[in-house]
Amino acid sequence: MTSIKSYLHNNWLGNLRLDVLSGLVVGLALIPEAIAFSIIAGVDPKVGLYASFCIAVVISFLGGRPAMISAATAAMALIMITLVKDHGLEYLLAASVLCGVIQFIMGVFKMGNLMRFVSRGVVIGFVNALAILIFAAQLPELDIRRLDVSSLTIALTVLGLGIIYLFPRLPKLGQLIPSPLISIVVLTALVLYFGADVRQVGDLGELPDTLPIFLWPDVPLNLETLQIILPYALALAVVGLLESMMTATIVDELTDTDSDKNRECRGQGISNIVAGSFGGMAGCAMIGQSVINVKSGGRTRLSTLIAGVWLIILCVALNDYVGLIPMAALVAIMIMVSIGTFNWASIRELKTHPLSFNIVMLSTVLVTVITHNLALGVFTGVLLSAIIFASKIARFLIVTSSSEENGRHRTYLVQGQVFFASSGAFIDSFDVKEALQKVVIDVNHAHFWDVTAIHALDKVVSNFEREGVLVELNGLNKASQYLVDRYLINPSDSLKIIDAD
Amino acid sequence: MPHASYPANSVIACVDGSNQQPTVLEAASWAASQLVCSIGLLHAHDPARSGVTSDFSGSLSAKARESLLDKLSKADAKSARELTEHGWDILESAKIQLKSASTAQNFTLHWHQSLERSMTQLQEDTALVVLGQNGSENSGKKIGHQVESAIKACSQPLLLTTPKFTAPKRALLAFDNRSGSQEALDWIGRYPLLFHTEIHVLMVADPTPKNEAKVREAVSALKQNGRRATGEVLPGKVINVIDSELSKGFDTLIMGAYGHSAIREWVLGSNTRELLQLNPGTCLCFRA
Repeated sequence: MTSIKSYLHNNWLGNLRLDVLSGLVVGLALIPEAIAFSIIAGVDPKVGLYASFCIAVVISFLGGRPAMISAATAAMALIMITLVKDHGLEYLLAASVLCGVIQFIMGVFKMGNLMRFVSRGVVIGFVNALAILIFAAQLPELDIRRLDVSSLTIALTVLGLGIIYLFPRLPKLGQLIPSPLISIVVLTALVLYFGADVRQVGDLGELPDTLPIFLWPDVPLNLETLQIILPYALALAVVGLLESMMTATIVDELTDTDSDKNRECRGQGISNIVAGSFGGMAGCAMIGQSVINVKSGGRTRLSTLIAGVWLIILCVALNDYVGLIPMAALVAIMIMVSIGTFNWASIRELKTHPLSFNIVMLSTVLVTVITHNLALGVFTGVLLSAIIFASKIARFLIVTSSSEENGRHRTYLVQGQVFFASSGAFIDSFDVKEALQKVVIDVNHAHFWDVTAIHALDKVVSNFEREGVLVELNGLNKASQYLVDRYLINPSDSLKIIDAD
Repeated sequence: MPHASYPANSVIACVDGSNQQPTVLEAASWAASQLVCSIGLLHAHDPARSGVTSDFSGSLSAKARESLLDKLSKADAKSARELTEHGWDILESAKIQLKSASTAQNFTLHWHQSLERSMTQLQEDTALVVLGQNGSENSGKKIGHQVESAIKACSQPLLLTTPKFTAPKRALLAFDNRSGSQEALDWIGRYPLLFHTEIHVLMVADPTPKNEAKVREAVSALKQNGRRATGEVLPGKVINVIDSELSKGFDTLIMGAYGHSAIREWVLGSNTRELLQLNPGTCLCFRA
């Protein structure tokens, strides 16, 4: 009994008032975003709203990071655009389910730990690229050359942005209600009052009027379908987990508590499976909303649950009004999201950060923006950081030498890391053209990491032996000896001798 | 892969155990005492050149081929080891000879590579290289088979010795206004090697006022640095003029070496080679 009690207290009821309040704020703020992300992906607003509801509710029970908000997100929506355009909604739902399955498996295999290979440069590059893509996705809505876009749309967008950024400055009231919501209400009211002819959300597709119902995606279950959805599902799974892990780290820092990253992976997986089978698109954790939730006092799973439930109640209740929201209001909100997502400090810090950091960050941004694929951008960033790191470690190789016996013997002292990136430098530090009787290679303070390193050692030794020099190898450790025995087909004589210790 | 470093501003004496070794050491001792520096004894031999080069692998089965190659590489290593031992004997004897002639610090450089390659791997700050000009006693050649390629490879000033070495008293500087002899002028002014030597600047060309002015300029540059110098311009064929001048009591020839392009050298022959074949005594060469 006590354990159930303490579980309820720690995870659900320990912070009741603030959790409910912050959940209500976030649930409200999720509505315009979910609609806007649906529009980015090219699907009906209800797809995003159902997704946000399903994901928020499921993750509140199964997630590994209490108080983190997960729902439909821009990062995921950006990946879906071409899938929806080419194959339609049903394939998107199938891809969402498959994405969830992949994420769940990744969680089972503790792939959450792989997050440590994502350096800060990649993370910042990721959010900057995300911001740029969100912003770029709004530009067609503001393209004055389009028939259904007038200067009125642009004026409304500017007004919306003005409300979003100025309303929070009002005393008291400004902090109580999310300003994007005010922006939506004011713009909708204006459009209705003046009967202005602008694009409205209702023009874009169906809105939810009931709770979501279980509906298995209507796609043929064959290999062809898999071929279509698998690449998207993989990209969704990777980007979803990446953003969720990053967000979890941020919430960890904000609340000074720990989270279970692998549980979060499994939770994200199940919530996407549920979202997909209830007619919603795949989603993940939201950096912006999670920060708002924590800053508003949300600490437990209850805040996430309240946000999801409140969202669907509002949607069903206000069904008739949601369709009246002018597109300009959503564009203004998306521009706000992109401005808020972009890490502005990173531009200032370009001057102070090391070049390697900037290269990783900018390459992540560039590749993402060019390919419109966040997964590819992150992959590039991680690969670049690995290469840069390897080349840095490769510099930790020092070979010194001293001459003995009137120059007839020479002792080489090898210190540092010998691996694929430093083996060339390793070979070059030996002067095999020096006519010696004996050479001692002291590797007590060196580590040979891989097959390339062992081959380099073998090459040095056999080069000396070919010149008739007696080679003595000192202090090859067990790990390296194992590599020698296993990977050298015909090792030099000196390498066959196992050192006493 | 770089060789281990040795003291800066050293005189490097190339020793090979031949009958030229004593004069090379004598010249190196003199140079080291003039320049106040250490002497490096360099012995370079290329095991690949002297070893067995036949390929016996032919059409053998893989296993037999491997074992044969293994045997051959063991044989290579053995011959290399013998060469190394021989090299150390040469260096030891050179050290003993040097000790009786000079008080300068010495060190050894023992390399498994050709003399030509060794010349390219000397340190930039090497002061002077001393090398026996003649071939080994039984070849009877006036220029050793490795000498020309070594001169071409060497970017440091090179002192070539013949079996009779005396400290230079009168030196003839073959001046042709090309960068090699300009380098010679600068070097002689900068280093005290020829401080006690009388230097005669000779330009083989038509004695036009322009040429005479150049020689005057060269002489005054040497004098400014406290060297004793004279100069003249003589017309004629380079090799003949220098040959007849050398017989007037000069013991040393200073020249820029192999200043022409390889193609021109191949077509017209090289003045440097012809001059060395005159066997002029000690010769100080500068590569442009």
